[in-house]
Amino acid sequence: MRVTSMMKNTMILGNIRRNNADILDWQNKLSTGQKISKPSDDPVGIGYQMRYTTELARNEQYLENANTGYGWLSQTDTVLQQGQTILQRLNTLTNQAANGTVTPEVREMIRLEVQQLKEQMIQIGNSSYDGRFIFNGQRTDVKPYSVDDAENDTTDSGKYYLNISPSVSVEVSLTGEQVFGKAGSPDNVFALFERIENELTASDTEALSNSLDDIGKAVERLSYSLAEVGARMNRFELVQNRIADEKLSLTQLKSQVADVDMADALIQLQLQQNVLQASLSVSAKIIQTSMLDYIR
Amino acid sequence: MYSTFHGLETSKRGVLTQSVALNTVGHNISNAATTGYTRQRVNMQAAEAIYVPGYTRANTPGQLGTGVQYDSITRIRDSYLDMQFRRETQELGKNTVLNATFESLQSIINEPSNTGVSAIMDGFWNSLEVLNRDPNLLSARVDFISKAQNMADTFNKIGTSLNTLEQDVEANIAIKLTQANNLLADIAKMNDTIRKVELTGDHANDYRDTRDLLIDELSKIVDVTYTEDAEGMVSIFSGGVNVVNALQTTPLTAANLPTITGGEIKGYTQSLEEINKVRNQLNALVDTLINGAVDVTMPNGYKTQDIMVAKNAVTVLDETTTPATEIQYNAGDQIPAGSKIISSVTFEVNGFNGLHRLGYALDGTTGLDFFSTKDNSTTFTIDNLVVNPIVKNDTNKVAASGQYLGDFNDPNFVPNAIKGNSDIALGLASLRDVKFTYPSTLTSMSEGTSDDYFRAFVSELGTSASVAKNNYKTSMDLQDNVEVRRQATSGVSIDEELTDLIRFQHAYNASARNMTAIDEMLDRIINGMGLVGR
Repeated sequence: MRVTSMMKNTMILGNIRRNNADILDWQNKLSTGQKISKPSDDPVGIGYQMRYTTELARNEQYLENANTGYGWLSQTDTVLQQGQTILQRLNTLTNQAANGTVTPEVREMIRLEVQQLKEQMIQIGNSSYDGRFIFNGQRTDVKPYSVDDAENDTTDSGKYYLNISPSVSVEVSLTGEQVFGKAGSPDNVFALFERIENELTASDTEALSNSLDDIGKAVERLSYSLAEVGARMNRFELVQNRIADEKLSLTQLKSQVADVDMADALIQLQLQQNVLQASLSVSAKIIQTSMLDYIR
Repeated sequence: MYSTFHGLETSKRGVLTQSVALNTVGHNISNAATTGYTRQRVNMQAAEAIYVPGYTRANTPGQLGTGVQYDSITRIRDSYLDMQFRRETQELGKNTVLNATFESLQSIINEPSNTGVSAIMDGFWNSLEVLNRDPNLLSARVDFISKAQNMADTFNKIGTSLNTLEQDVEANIAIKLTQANNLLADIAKMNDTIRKVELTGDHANDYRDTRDLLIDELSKIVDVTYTEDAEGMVSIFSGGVNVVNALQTTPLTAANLPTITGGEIKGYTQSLEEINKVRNQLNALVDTLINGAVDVTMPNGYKTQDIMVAKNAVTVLDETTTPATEIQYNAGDQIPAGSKIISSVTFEVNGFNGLHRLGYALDGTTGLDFFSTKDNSTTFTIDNLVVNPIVKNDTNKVAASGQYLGDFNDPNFVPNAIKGNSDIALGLASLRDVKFTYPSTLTSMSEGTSDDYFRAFVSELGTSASVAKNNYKTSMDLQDNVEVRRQATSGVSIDEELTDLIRFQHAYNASARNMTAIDEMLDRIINGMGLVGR
């Protein structure tokens, strides 16, 4: 084969071009730490990388949802327990008042305390979380219970849902009527307070004894709500843990697709640099040599 | 009998011919680095010997040689390799342009990054989750609108960049056409020169090199096929047009673009298609997300302000009676306006806007589009997408609620949305996981969520770009390869030329020495003979 000087040039330039392109590629990977800097680097990998990035960002929101749900339910739990304390106190007072030996003065004092307890109960009904009334369904901007006529106040039946994963949503709120009884019904907690107050005024010990049963029912309803709240809190807690686990595995998966193996990349870069140096030094020697060196 | 001075004449031929060969060696060495130069060779042969058969033939034994002569100086070139080189050059021209276009497209799409469409859309969907968490919260509404605006801006910016890229490509096509036409005119001129030179029987070596180089350059721009006629003139076909016919040229115009099958111009026309494909795919994404028909389920029900048809059986609470009664409707039944649906309900809506139109804003407004177009077109594109200015200028107009208070049929009805209701926001957020059907006229990807679609789009772009890059590398190597083979035939080898130099120099010197020997012989006869005893 004839070998001419232009051939040597073309081949040497081609090889150096390829070596330099590879070096640039590895340098880019090393300096960004990213395997994929544009879609053509790994058309399939980028799909995964984008999916993991999106999932991670979504999980942040689901975690925030779970935190909000948990916060909302903790608040509900706290106020419902307060409600239970109030009902226990009411039970004690009613029990005391049902005893025929209690003097009218004491009964009047009990009546005043019951009145206070009712107001406290109304306050509990009007509890809010983050500026939103928790017992008024979706009408979170409207105070559900009035001081004057709490027993006849209806609460909104809409429910407050939060998403915990794509297309899975969990009910968060309890409506006032679920917790405190239907508006206008004799079961209603506020109606119960009203009734006991009236019975105290009338000193009707027999009716007071009967009301003790109703208090028991109200406590039961409240306990049922508390159990419900506890179950939901557990669910949100599980979600929080699950998301933390998922975050870890998603981050790992993303790292496998997207991050450069530094040790490998450094070795590859060094390898390419060695090849480039070899080709440069050999080229320089080959190009220099010609017959001119040997003829006089 | 041969002439007395026969030997002198033979040596003179030797000296003259060798000096022509030496000059040609010099020409070759001088052009060792010239692009497109073909090494030349002096074709020497022994001159006609004496005697030729005939009556005047002498009776001496023969034949006696009469020295050397050269009949031509020719190029050493393989036209088959030229054809291969030009074919690879066409491919290289096309692939260089396509590769550059894909690099541009990839930087316009800007993935993976924190500012690309994917990240911006994550932000948009997540802001809906925030809105769903607390629909009445002003900051959630502001965040949602600004994320939507951000998304529209990002698409708009991609649209603008694609348009700019397209304009650049179109401008380059015009430039390349002009370049090609200039080359055609030059080739026709060289045809004329070569014809004139070769009519005299010479070989127009250097002119042919020039013309071959012009054709090489032309093959980088357009596809080239050619034939040479008996007078040495080439006829060239590009894009199916006989662009050079002897001395005539037919310039290429924009009308020839569809038939051009190679070279940079083909690269540019293909680039236009790729840019258009990218734009169409993104347009399909935007229009489908905002307008595409899709089934949305609202698990908490919905209160209508219009006659509607649900896709499932639903329960409606009639609050006009005391106590309120429940009415059942089957799938496909008409549900009257003002009905409070209390069961889970599935409607078919037209995309994001269609669902938002069902919602009730904080001030009770309903039927508002969330996104609108700059040009009032009903089709959404990456260029015309904006957040509806009515919503953008009043955060209250975000229709997150699916319930309102009051009786719609009451003549004094004033719309009043339930502010803590986020049924529509929940539905809008759920659109992220809904599979849309994309128009087959715009894209080959038929069905999937908007996230899936965009990821598939990026993967497809990446695959095409990767193919373009590999093609580019391959055709560069192939062109190098053919060029090396062409150089192996036509290139100047300094070592070879130096060897020839020594060869011809020796021959020249020896011829001169021979002339001296003859001279001495003649001297002996003329001056040294016939003087015996003097």
